[in-house]
Amino acid sequence: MIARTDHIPQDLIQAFVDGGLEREEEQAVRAHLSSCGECREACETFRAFDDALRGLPVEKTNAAFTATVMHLLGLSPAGRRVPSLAENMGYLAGLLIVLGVMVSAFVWTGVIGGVEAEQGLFRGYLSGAGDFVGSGVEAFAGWLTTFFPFAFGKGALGISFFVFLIVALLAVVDHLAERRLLRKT
Amino acid sequence: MGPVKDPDQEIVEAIRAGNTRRYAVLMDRHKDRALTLAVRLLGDREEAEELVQDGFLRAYNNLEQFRGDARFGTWFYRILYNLCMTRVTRRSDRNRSLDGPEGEVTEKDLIASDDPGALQQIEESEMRDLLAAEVGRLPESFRVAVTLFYVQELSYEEMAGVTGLPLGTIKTNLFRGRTLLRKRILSRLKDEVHVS
Repeated sequence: MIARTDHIPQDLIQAFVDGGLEREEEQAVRAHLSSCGECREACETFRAFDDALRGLPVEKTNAAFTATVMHLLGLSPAGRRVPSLAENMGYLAGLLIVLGVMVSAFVWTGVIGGVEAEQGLFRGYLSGAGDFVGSGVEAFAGWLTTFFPFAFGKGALGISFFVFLIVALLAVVDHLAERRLLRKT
Repeated sequence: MGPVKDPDQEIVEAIRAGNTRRYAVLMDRHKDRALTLAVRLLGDREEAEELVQDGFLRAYNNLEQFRGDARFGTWFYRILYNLCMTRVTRRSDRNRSLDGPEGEVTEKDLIASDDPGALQQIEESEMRDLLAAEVGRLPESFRVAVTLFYVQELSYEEMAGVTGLPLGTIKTNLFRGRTLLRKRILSRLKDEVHVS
């Protein structure tokens, strides 16, 4: 019970403003407020402060936030995105086509396959570049032969190993790139 | 705590029934207030957005564990709060101060102001700016209580559920947080009067 001569303590006023008082306490505070201008004024101040706190600005997420999370969950409106592995097989096919065209061009122009290099400056450079790449491949092949002897055989196991290696590498790059790009949206 | 009427319950049921795209509606309802909580806890917007994103991913993947005893929002804020506090703890493990922007708080600061009426003389926009700055400087426990109560609009019981703190501690933190805010704002006003 609040004596008529006392003022309501501030924590009680705050609890009253929050709506956190028991029924009896609340009635007692109301009764006191009806006869005490000073406490009524304090109560109004607390309410105004509360309103100001409720009006504090709320942070806004970026415009693509919901779409990004839905995408990561595979719930985008466009449906589940194409699996990365399938995309990577596409990249691999593209890479093989480009390499095939290049090799055909080299064979046709004679850089690879028996024609002498001294047939012009351009072919000389091309031959030099070919040697450089060739020695790199040779070194890599040597490394593979040492550590993965089965991989450098000409059988199906060796070819499968190379294909797996390339696809795995592309998948890792793709995964990292995707995570980075999605974080930035 | 008995069953709570939850405006999100219908959407949660729809998602469980297979209408998974409605999760976007749930996110749109909570994402901004979730980000506000995370920014207040971490003080870094980019990091906060990353954790809110992780929070929504975890909430979706664990939706089966949501029993509906509390509101979806309360359940989700608990996930987010735990993620943020784990990050804050990791920071403190790296010897970064948690009390960075808060300044020192003395017992005197927590005694109720003797002149709260002076606050009514402040213009609304000025009060908003002052509050926005001062809330960010509150000690972490007070900042959490003030944010959960005013931004997330949670009840005392829900705040206790989110933070795992006893109800009495929640009430005390909220009261002290507000008291400290009032005192600091009044003090800044006095300083401004002295300067001018």
